[in-house]
Amino acid sequence: MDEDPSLLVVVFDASQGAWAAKDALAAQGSTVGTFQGTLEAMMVFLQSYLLMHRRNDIAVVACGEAGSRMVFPTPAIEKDNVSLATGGVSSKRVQSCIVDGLRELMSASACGTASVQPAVSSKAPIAKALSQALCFTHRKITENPSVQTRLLVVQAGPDAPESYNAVMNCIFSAQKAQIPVDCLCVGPDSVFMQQAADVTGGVYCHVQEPNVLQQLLTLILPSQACRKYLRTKGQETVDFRAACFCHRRLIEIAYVCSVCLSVFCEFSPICATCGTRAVPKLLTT
Amino acid sequence: MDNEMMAWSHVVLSSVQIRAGDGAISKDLLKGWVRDAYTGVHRAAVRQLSALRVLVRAQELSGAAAAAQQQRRGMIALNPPFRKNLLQALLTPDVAPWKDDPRFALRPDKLTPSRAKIEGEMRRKWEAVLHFLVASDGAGAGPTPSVRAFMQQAGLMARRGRSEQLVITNRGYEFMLRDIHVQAWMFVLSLIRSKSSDAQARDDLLSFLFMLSYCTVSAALQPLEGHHNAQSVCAAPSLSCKPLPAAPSASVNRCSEKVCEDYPLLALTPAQAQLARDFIDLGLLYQRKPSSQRFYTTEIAVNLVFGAAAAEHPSRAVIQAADASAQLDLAPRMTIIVETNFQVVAYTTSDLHVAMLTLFLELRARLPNMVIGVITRESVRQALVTGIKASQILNFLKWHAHPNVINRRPMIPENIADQIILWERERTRVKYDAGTLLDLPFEGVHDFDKVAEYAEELGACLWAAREKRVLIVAAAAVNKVVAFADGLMPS
Amino acid sequence: MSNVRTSRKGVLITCDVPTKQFILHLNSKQAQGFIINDLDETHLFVEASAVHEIREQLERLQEMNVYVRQA
Repeated sequence: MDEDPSLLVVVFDASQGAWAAKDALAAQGSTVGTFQGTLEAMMVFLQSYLLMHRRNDIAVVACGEAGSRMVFPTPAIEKDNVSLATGGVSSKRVQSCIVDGLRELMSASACGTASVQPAVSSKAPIAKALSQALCFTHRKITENPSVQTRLLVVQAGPDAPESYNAVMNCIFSAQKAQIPVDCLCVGPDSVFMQQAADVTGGVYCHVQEPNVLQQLLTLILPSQACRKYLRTKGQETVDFRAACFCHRRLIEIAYVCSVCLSVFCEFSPICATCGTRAVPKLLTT
Repeated sequence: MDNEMMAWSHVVLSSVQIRAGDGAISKDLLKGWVRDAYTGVHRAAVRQLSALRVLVRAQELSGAAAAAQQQRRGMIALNPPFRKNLLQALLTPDVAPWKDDPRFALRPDKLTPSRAKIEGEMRRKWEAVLHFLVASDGAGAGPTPSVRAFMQQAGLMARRGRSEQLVITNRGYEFMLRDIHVQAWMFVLSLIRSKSSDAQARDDLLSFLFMLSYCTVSAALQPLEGHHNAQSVCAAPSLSCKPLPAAPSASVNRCSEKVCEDYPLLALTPAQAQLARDFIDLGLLYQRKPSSQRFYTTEIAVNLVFGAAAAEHPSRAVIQAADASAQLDLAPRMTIIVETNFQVVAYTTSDLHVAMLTLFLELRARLPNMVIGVITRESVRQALVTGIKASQILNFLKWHAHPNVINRRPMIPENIADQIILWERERTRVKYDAGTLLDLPFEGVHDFDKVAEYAEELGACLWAAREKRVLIVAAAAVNKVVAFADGLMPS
Repeated sequence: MSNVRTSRKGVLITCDVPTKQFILHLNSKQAQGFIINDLDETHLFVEASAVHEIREQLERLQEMNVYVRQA
């Protein structure tokens, strides 16, 4: 085999709130994807990904209101030291691990929200999951420097503005490590993910219809090397808005500290991040 | 990258064709997916797929009405059996060979062996084979006749000496110093070649190998990971209009891993059964006793066809895996450090490894888990005399390099590597060829050249000097050349 | 039986320049020279009987410059 094996890490947004809303909409008859449908499409996509190369490997990180965890490979599988690549784990087991992990996470979120503090966010911690995924890829790369890694984020809920910093940091480290981040948004448009795909050289799809498998197979399945051959629809416009550091609102015009480059929507004489004093000097014409 | 284009193309085509009747699409649509600059790559991929009969012209598909033939010009589709099986591979979670045929259904094995036992058995048998290879016929009982026959046939051993004992050859050394994956593959290759006359048997063998690569290796004991009520998630998703057959119900609904995956022997054809028996002798497959109806696979067997490529040195993951299994006492792995003062430290507990090291090292000390040796001119020359090449020795040292030195560039100190190569070159420094010197007193150079060319054609010209008109000819062809030269001489 | 003037049986030695010089040196030390023909810088034609002696002397030469680490 001449091609290098490839590692795909999927960050799956399993936030109870977002999926429940979508399922409700689907039950009323509108054409949105359901959790079941998306999960099935995901399984087929993973199976087809594993068929592309004998030694392709996958990992799945799920995140929900209860936190994020790696559902595949589970600690038990890691301890056994069997790997997908050498036939140690059957695809049946892969799927059962993923399903079990997702169910645990979602039921934990469901009973968690009843007693949750109002201050804690009720949105899925994508940043947490992204960092976990990136740490996993880093470990795999140190073990085997020749493996090509990629990331796929499946986001169902809206962006969480308070995690802007964390998400951006993850995106930049992915860019540094040359890991393309693809994104499949089945919920509302995600600004963060658009920027992620643009910066790292990945693909951003916003899909509202139930059948996501087509998008997965045509846009996301080809590897980086193969994508340069294909005529795919790129992102025409990327929403490059930043979130201000004080209110976490997405803004287009802002005040920027000249020392640390942090972004604020309102002027304040002392920068909250680095403490530099600033005096507004109006330009005299 | 063409391989990828192919793989991607046919995966996508199958998805597109899930809805359409028999899934024909026009060639132009296919070309439209590719950027203009790369149509050459696309054309090559389509050509390759058509040559493999994965893609066929839609007109060739049976069952299309004659009237519709006109519209189908320029349309291509996936070959129907390929398409059916690809869809099945994508949509059902598990494709286990031989398992879904109810004729060969096995009752659950009462005494399932653990993974450690299977791998241990494999190592034991394989090492016995290698011991036989190194120590020739003397060591113990030795492997079965079929293995001996393979050794001789593959040129790994030859009958030498008056006693006609099987002794290792140069190719045998090459074989022995490689990794186990490569060794298993070389064995399989020579087996297939030996059966190449019988096409049916060869097809059987190849299909057996391919099916083997889809078997799962036995898993260690696992508690059920979370309760799993019967849910439709594990079964085939309902994407197509045709419902696909559900996977065998019992295992799907429990979704836990059995201790070991066994496969029925009865499901194999006679040729395949013979190959399976050979594999069991070598330890690639495991059978509890010769009358048992089932066999278990090992990791090596599963990875035979597509498996681990022989990298220059094993990655850290492999080392960790080997270390982990060494703790389980499965595979004593040898790690070697080569020092710049010609001393070699090898950490190993296996006698076979020590025997392999004595081929080119002079052992100085042996501890329970470690061996110290020195690379001397004498020891290396001994190895060179028996036919090992310097590159083989160096590759062996690199392959078994200790994790501490793996990141050193170069892995083996330059002075050691260079010295071993120089010692090899010493042996070829002077060449001796028996021949006859012919002094040809021709007037012009022409005739001399003709004689020289004639000798070249016979392959017997060792050296020629045009000015002095001197030719040296190998002893065997002297008479012919002399006769030829006589013919040209002015009488 | 032929008009070819001289034909001698022997052994053609192909080697590198220093080795050839060494063989020439051996030749001069011998009472009876074994070199039939000095062909060029890297080739010599010698008597077949002398080959064994040449091999041995070359071995000894190579071993002279070897250092073996004493444990």
